[in-house]
Amino acid sequence: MKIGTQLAARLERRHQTGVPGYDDYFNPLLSLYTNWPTERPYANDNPNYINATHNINVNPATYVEDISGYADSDWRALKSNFYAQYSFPFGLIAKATYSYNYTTNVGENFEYTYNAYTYDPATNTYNINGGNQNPFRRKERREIAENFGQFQLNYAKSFGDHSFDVVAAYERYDSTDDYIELISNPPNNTVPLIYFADQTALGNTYGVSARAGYIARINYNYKQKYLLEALGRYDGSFLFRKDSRFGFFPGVSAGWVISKEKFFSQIKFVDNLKLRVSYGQTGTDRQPYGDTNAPLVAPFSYLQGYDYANGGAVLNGSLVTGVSPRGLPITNLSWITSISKNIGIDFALFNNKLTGSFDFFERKRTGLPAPRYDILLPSEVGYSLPNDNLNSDANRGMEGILTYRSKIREVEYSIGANATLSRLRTLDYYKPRFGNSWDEYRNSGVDRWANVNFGYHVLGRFQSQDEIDNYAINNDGQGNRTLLPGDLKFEDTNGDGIINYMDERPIGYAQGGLPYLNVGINGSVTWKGITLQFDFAGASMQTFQREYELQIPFQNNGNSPAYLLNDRWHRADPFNPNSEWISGTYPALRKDNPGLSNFAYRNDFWITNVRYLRLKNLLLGYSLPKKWMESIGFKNVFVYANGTNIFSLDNLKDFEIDPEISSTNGIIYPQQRLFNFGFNLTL
Amino acid sequence: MKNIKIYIGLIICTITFSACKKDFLEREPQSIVVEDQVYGDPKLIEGVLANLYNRIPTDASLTNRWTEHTAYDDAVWSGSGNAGDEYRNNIISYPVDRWRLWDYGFIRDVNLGIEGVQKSAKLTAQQKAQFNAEFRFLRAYDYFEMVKRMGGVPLVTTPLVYDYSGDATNLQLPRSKEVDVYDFIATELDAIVNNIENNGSTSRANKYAVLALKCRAMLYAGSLAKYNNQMASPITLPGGEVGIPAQRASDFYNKALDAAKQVMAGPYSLYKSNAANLGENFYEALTKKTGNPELILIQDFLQSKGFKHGFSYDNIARSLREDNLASSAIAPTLNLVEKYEYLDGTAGNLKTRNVDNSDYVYYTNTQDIFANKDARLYGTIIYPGTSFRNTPVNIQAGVALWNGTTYQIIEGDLGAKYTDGKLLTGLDGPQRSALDLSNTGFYLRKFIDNTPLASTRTRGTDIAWIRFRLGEVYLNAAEAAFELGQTASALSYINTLRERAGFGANSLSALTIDRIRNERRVELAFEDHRVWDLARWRIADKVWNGSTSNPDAMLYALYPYRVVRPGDAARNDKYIFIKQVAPRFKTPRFYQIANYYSSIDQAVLNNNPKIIRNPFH
Amino acid sequence: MKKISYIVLFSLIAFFSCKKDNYDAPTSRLSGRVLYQNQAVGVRSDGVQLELWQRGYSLFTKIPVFVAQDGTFSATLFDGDYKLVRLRGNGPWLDNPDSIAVKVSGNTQVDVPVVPHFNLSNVSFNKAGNTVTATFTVQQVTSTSVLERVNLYLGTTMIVDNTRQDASAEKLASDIVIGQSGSITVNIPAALASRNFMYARLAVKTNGVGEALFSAPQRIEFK
Repeated sequence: MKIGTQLAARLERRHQTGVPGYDDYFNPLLSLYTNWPTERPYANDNPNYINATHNINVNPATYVEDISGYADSDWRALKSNFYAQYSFPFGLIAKATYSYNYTTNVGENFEYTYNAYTYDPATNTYNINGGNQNPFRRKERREIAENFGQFQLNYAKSFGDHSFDVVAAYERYDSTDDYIELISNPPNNTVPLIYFADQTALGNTYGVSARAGYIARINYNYKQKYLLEALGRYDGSFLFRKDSRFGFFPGVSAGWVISKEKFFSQIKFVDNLKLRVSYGQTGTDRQPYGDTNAPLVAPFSYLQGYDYANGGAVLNGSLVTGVSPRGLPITNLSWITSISKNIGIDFALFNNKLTGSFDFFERKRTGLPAPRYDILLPSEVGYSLPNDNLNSDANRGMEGILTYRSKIREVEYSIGANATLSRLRTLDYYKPRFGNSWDEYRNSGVDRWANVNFGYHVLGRFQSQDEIDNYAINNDGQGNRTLLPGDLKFEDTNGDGIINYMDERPIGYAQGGLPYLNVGINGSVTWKGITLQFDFAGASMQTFQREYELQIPFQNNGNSPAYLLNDRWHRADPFNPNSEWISGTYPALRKDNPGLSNFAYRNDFWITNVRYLRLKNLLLGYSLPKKWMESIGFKNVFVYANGTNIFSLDNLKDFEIDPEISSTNGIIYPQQRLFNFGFNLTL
Repeated sequence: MKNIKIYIGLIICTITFSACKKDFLEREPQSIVVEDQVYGDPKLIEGVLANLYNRIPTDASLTNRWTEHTAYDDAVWSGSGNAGDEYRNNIISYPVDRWRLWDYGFIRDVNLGIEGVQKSAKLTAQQKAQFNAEFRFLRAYDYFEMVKRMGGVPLVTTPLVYDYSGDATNLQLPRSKEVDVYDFIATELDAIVNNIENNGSTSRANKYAVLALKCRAMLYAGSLAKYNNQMASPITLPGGEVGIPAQRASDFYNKALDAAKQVMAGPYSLYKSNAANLGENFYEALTKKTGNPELILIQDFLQSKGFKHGFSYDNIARSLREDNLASSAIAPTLNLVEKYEYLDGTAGNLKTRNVDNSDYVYYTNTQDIFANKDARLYGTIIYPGTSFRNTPVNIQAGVALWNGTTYQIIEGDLGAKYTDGKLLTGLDGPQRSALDLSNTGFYLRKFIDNTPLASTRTRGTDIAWIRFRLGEVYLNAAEAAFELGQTASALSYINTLRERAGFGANSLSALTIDRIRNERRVELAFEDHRVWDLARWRIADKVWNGSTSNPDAMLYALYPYRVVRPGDAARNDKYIFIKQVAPRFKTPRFYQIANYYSSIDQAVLNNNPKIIRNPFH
Repeated sequence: MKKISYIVLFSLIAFFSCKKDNYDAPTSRLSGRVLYQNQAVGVRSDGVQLELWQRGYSLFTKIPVFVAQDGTFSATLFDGDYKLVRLRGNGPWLDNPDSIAVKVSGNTQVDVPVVPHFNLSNVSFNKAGNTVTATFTVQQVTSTSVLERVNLYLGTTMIVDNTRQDASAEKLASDIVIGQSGSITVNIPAALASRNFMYARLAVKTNGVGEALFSAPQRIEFK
């Protein structure tokens, strides 16, 4: 009998300046673009007076706690794990585990009022000119309690060359999430307590979740040469109605270590060759696209009735909480089934010098939610049919890894490479309906690559005003009257003389998702005590689209990247409207015109197929020699210097952004290059 | 020792499964109410009504689609510069689906309410009649919003239920004729007018709200009957889904006039409490919620309970904003300003140039150019030289420097001083390309809350959105009477309204339809009437014809400049005004014949093959 | 070593696709002109469309075919049988509910005959000083139609019409004699007088019809 416990605690304190308006991480980054180089953060450079810039909200002088206030968030969590295990003499082990996690979050947000000033040089005075008169105080409390319990039986036995390993388990999990938020209009910038008289909003939400499941697994192997595994899960989720609550997900995999076969013993250079094949199902009750942590369907969707607190109105002077009918209950929806198929080989050659593995895989999801429209219902019924498990998609691909390690005299080295190529494809839709062949081409997802990115193709640039004036195709929807030399010329794919949505064709891959191709190269060299390790990570086949600040000059009445402003089409003499045009990479600058065809028509000038190879990790270390160890009394001392994200070879250098971001305006907390130095001591 | 271990182990096992209740996965929701509970409790039924009241569609109110006030010709968008907002200054043509509404979710919820009230075991007969009337009012209102955008729509009066039999043909209702929908609205409102009670309430519909809705709907039907058939090519469909027969016009106008008379005989009167300052009076008439005898039905808010909105935050004059973002988004145009007549009855065009166009007209103060104008101008729009919330608004675009032969225009930063030590550009601009600052030289006063801190996001404002008020009823009555040939009554209604605007009693003795239309525009500006009026008079495609040379399709600004002309005492430090196209406004408004009835969504057509498409789509 | 790397590469290429889409884009082109008396009818760019309908699908929705300002149209489609329809009330011609059966196979030509309300003939332009004068003859093609006005538009680009112009002049029906030569003069705006050229176009508008019939854009040399 064994009992044990594990306890873990976490205390995380986030303390930062609270910025009114936009969120606290986004705002300072937005400042980089929005502020004008002609404005100073302080009026007359006097740090006692914040300058009333054209957009006070992004004046960096306000990002000081004393001026703007604070935003604190404290997380405290206690995770406790208790287990008891009893081993029976005949090989059966019974184990019970219980976990209790308790997490609280305390959020305190206090934004102050402040004044901004304009300096009047004539009278040497600072005049108040705006600022922020909108103080804000918010208190948040969140309590999350989670229970997890598992009971497991494990039986392992060997009979001669056969060995079995059987596991059966039952587990259940539930959680509650209680959140309350209190907002007030603080009367001054000093007292943080919230008084009833100043309160402006109160919010309270309560969430619950529960899941349970049975698991069984059998492992069998013969002489460690033939391997077989079968497993199954029977899972239930609180999201679904009683009849559709549970789903059964089996799986089986087999392995054959070919190198152990007698006929293989001749082939000396092969140390290990294993062939594996597997088929497995799992279930998920989360959203398949978008936010994959969100539940597949809102809790209690299978209940009918009315929602309390949906909208509301002030009737006869008092606020009446709105009550609205819920839609049709979702009764048939159940788990999404994820079917994984895999075939692969592992090998080791030349005395384990060359090792690797190679896989083809498919992860197919069936049961994606869609409404079951056997026939179409008129929209006048006022409701839509509830979701059922109907659609499917699949992620198919291959991956491989190859490593070579060897030794030349005293130098040990290894080098390896891996790559994964994987692409999502939507497969089946329930009774897809289309109105014509064009509709089907544009909108069908039946057996098609997912995330096909439609847009306009840019043929080239207009070289002169004459060319624009005599151009027969309506390029901007306004008779080409908004165009200047250097503007983008779109391909009139269907030849009808007008550029519009009928001319869109696929121009890119998925945006903001995982690249289709991921590669890695790693290696290490060791000589005597010196170790050098490096890791490259790279990817391709992902589309990045530049928008907003990276595309539109003076976006948000602010500044733009230097390359957008310098390397552009412009007149030789900006004050002479008849001087000649000088070409550049970017179109001529026009302010306050985000609707120009260059930007409004999503096109492949602003779209890049991201390719990068990044030195993710470089480590140089030295293990002090044994002789020195013994004298000091340590077993081992390892001193190292380490760098992360050291450099990257990518095709986004011209836009001065990091290849691993998905935010289309580039306003995102950048990847950091880290250098650290340290040592490991083993006593 | 071993025993203790076993006991502890067992305890752990039991804790794991102590919640072994059968329905571990069956949880209780916290905020779902069952249908029987709802219809057994009048308070919960009020909740259902509250939810529906807030969903009444509008094209541009204070909360729902408020930005669309700048999509027509009364205001220019002067807020943020994001493509999603700036496009309102660059609408090449109104899309054919712009006003599309097929709001059968709302209709279904109302029909469920009517059915639930009917079946309820716990309500008295009087309560049932009252709730039934109020639900039907909401339904009639929603059908009116749909028919004025789409033409005839299917009339659904009971909840449609699909029986999963594989056949939905019994649910496929065809579009009713446009005239039948208006007749339905009239019969529904007639049936409920005496049962709806809610006497004295302005936020729940009472008898007079019902009549006011009937008045408006019948007036619309009458003008469609008349003006659609006066088009060279009337818009009709063979089945009558679009196109009201011309002979119904006088019947509808009569119904509108009757309903208007009943409302005018009710306990309402035009707000005139502030006799000293008629401009402020008009402003108060639209912002005061209590002690205002003009309001018939409003969408109310309550700041103290957190039910507030940010219309003031988004639109207050720039120098008066109390937050550090936004303001000034809706900037009224010179087009609208010049529609407010002078008190002597002459047309409202501002005199910026002298008679022979040789020079500007010089004004001592910026407000002088607006002297003796309709008091409603002051009440609707903040113009140069006026105040808001007891603080002067500072509108000056720049300085006009005389260089001997012409004026050189100099503009600068907000609040900057010119080299002569006096003001260069006012704290309220205007500036040509600044964001969150008026682009036209005017700010909105109507509906802006002058309570301190109402323009902050935290406090917000609770100014009510006015759905029906007595002022509109007078205009409806005048128009209906005039179209029926009863010019004398029409004159009396118009004159009553003009009296409140400072014109003196009986200011008009002759009336034309254009006069009535202009009264409507200046009285009901920003109250979600402009585009509907132009549509039902069938003049929208002529007024907004997409031509840059059409002064009604282009939007104009008025920039005041202080004259710097030392040595010329008659002109120096006086003000001149320059009219120009609003700098952020790019493309003339273009309304086409296909916009009079919006297109029906393809999905709706796919789902019900009996639905006939609207013409021109 | 080499052999294995080749196998890896080969399987990568064979198994996978770098194409952006696995559906083929349509390639067949249907093109033609909107004709009256074998002449293409000039219209406002992006103002007029025809409809294509295709049977054999569970839903029945149209494919819009936009008519360019010179009266030609073109659409990229999949091969198949379509019906080409003139959209009601959209175009300076009589409504015609008849549909034209079209079989699209590769590049297909089809002409759409229409009956305009009015037509322009004997159109010529002349620049003199700072005005441009156009002479024209309005012909009544449909006897029941009522003439509203004729406009002369000047534009900086080749695409000129009532919504894309820099100068316009109007002649109302009362000043026009149908069947006889008439003229209309427009002033060149001072700001544009120094240009090398502008385009001019005439439009004849029918009462109650939204779209006007246009003449071909004519480049007027200023220098």
